[in-house]
Amino acid sequence: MKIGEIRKEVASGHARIAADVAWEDCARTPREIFFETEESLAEALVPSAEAFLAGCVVPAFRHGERRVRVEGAVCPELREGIRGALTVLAGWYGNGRRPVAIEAAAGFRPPPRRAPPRTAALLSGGLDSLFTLRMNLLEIPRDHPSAIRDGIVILGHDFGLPDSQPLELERFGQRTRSLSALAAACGIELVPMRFNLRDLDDDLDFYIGEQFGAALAAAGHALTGRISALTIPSSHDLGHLIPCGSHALLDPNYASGALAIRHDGASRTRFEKLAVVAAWPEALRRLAPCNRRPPHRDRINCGACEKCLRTATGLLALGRLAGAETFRESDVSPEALRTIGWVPGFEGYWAELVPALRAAGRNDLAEIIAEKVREALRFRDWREENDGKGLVKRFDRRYLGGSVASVLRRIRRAGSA
Amino acid sequence: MKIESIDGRVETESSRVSARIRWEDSAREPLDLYFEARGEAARDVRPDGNSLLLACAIPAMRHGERRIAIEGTVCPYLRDGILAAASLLEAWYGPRTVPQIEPSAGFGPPRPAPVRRAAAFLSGGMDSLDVFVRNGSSFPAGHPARFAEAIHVSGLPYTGPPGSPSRESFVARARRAATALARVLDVPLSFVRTNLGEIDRDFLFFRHEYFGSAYAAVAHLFSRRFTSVSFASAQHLGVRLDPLGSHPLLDPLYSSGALEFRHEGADRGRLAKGKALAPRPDLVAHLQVCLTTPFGDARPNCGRCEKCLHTQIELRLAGVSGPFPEGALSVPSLRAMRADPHTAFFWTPLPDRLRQSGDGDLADAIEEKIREMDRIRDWSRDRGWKGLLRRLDRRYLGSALLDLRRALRPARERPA
Repeated sequence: MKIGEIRKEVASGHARIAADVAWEDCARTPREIFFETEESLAEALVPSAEAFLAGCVVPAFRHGERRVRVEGAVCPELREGIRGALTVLAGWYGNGRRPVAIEAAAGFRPPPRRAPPRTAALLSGGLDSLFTLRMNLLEIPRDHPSAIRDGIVILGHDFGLPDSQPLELERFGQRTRSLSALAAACGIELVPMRFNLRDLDDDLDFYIGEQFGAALAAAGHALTGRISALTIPSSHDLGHLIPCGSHALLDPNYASGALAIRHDGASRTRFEKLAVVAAWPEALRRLAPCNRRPPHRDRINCGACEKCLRTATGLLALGRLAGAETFRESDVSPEALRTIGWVPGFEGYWAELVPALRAAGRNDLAEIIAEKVREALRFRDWREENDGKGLVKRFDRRYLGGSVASVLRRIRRAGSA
Repeated sequence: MKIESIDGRVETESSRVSARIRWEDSAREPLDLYFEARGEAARDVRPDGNSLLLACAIPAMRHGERRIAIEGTVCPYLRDGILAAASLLEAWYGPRTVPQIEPSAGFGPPRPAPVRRAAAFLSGGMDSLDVFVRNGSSFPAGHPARFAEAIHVSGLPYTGPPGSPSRESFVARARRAATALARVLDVPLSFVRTNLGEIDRDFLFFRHEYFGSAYAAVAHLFSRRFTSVSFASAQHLGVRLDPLGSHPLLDPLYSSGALEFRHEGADRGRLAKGKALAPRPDLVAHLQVCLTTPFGDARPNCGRCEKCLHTQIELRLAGVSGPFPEGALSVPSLRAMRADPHTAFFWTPLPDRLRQSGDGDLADAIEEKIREMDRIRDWSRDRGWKGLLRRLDRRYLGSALLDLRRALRPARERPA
């Protein structure tokens, strides 16, 4: 992969850095990749080789590019970090991926770090980012270098269609206005951004599973005219880790001499985060966890997807659902929980709601969730052959050459004939 | 647990931090904990609540302490990091008590040093040396990530009481190696001597749960001087990532608002590290990897323990020899080595490479040893057909088979 023609343009109300990205070892379409913000923030945007490298390297790795050659100089800290991040991804997803050589046309040297230090955090309006902001406001003195001074909201990072859909743009505008008001109330500034990194590979599962931490870091590198540290709110807590594109093992690897990166909030479970955000009225009225795409036409949260239902159930357990303006329902129906599509690996997030629901007197919902969690764990045990049947199957395979399974198959066939 | 009587004394080239550790919920003796620093960085050492908290938090969890009351302030990032570490340790090893952290002056982040400055621990072993060599070749002088200084710690893990032959032999050999390596690397070296290992002398606990936070405790003593301190990884991302006291998920949690504690070098295995060190025989000549102690003479390595043996092979495959006794690496030495399944990952890549280089006898001996490690692991995890039978018996027969076997066992074989 080659990344060239890195440039900065300021025109018609926008400031943008862009580069031409060409694939070398796979037959994919060349793209112009860009990071864009408002013209008033033009000084923040730096034509940073690190931004494009961090933004492009994970797709390059996925598609078997042997190298990523970037115009300009690259920080050796990022080069070393990428090596570690790709090792982690290879360990998770394997499939014989080969290492990617990082080449910098002007060599490896650190970019200058902005002084005085300034920290930004991703601010999507979802639970994780609101929790990170709240805890930072509560616990970090405003003059400390780690105090969040900017919230970055990004169009193009949303887990859905690429950014061009009119409804997405409309929603982004609404979200930006809402978060601007929150930012003003908190004494921080909102930095709206847009990038098109998902044009490199529009596979949503890939973006979520491998790339999005690097993409968020890339946005931070693009803003190193303004910030020296980026806080990425964690998606999962350390007790329930699953492979994910933003992860405690990945995100800090995308730092450079100019940008420190912190993966924040992994010590708290989702329900613990919800309790903190639910007690903050300014945030509760803006809470927007829904990733459904295309977005619901006239609702911020669809109220029906797994994430919405899980969040609504948590708020109900905390006695705060009625006060959450972005959720229309004031209750969660047992039927909705019974029919919900279960996401493998998220059992722990549901399980932690059970005692809270019981304490809130909602045994009806608690029982349904507890049964679904048990069912999910039984399924997992069956799949991983950890249950009684699995033990017999493994014994049969290993010591009886699969003869029991073979006899059972024959009996079944004979029965159905 | 209470961490109290925190005190600090600073002199020109040395400093000392001490505190009294009192257990509240477990019947353990109080510890008068100390850290003594010498060298260029010692003058910036100060008593640090974050350091003392890290020194005690994981042992407090292990021994069921319900709280840790500490004088002064604690960084909220570190508090959250310790909570996250507790989640991880629970996920790995099962439930444990997570103590409340109660700083007398509340939670507040310390301020970082005004200039970014990186340091790393230099033990004298292969992992830390590799981290220094990689760092030196990756970052030009003046880069904020370039290691400006090195720190060597004596007293971790616990190897015996002060003055005992086991402790003195271990400390002296490691210190000599680190001193020589720092000289060749041209990096200023500071020494820290501590009795922190006495807080819990169990080596398996140290290895499986604690040693990352113990070293982080030392790192935080220097938070006025360094903004990051790196600790060399014994893991290999993507190949081996076992639960361990120092881990790429755990170590960064031991950071604060002032100091980043970094886990480095996990992207490569020992063979790659050997290869990276091969062009530097001037460094390899001072390696000290051996944990055997006491050790009767002045040599740095016994050459026959498990760690010495695989290190010799790793270096030999890279075309360089280290400071090991002549002839120590042999088939009889490998056969005599204790098989520890926790270290199997060091051995598994070796036989193929040894055969390629014409050392088939060594390869055969190692494969035999790996099979022994596998058997021990299978037994301990109830794997294999015996393990399957044990699990079936436990789960579906209420251990009736086990009872039957015990009943049928001749009386002379039964435990008294």
